[in-house]
Amino acid sequence: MDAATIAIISEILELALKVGVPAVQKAIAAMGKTEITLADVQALHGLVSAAESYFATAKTTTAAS
Amino acid sequence: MRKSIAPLLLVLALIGGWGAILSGCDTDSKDFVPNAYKSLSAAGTAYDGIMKAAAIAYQHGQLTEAQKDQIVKYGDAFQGAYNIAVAALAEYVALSQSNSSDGDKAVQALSDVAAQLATLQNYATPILNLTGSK
Repeated sequence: MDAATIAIISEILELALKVGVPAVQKAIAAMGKTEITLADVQALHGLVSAAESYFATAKTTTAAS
Repeated sequence: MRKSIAPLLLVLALIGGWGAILSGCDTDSKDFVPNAYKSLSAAGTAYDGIMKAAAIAYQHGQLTEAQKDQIVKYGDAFQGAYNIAVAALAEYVALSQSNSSDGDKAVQALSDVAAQLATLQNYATPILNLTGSK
């Protein structure tokens, strides 16, 4: 990844951080790591949820409204 | 507010996910584990951003059931590849601590994650109208 790409990603991530997106906050923290432990790697499982679960939340919100 | 966040999530997901995954595959480098970790972190964030954007679009009636089902199908495929890659990297880290690790499995898993993410992105991007303003 070249410096220009990194700069673009950094700017976007900073903007998203201001917006308060939890997942992006985690990604920013991950980018700063140099020493990776086994626990760090295992924690990656928590970044993603089952695909259907994203829509189940949306469906619940729609039904409630 | 939520609707304006969805395109932002997708933009950073696409740029961050692609760039990071491509940089994490040299097992001979001492940076392999940090790069692979960051690649997977970016890929997971990319997937999360795409799925949240899709869910918001679905909530607003901008996706058909068929489109939603296809995104779920691609999402499931990505999640499967992602979890395998995380497990492979975890195994590599654990074994490397005893000086007996093989990075090929982790590298192949990373490649699979990249492929599945690309499939999801290629399908979802035009549907979610990333570049359009609504």
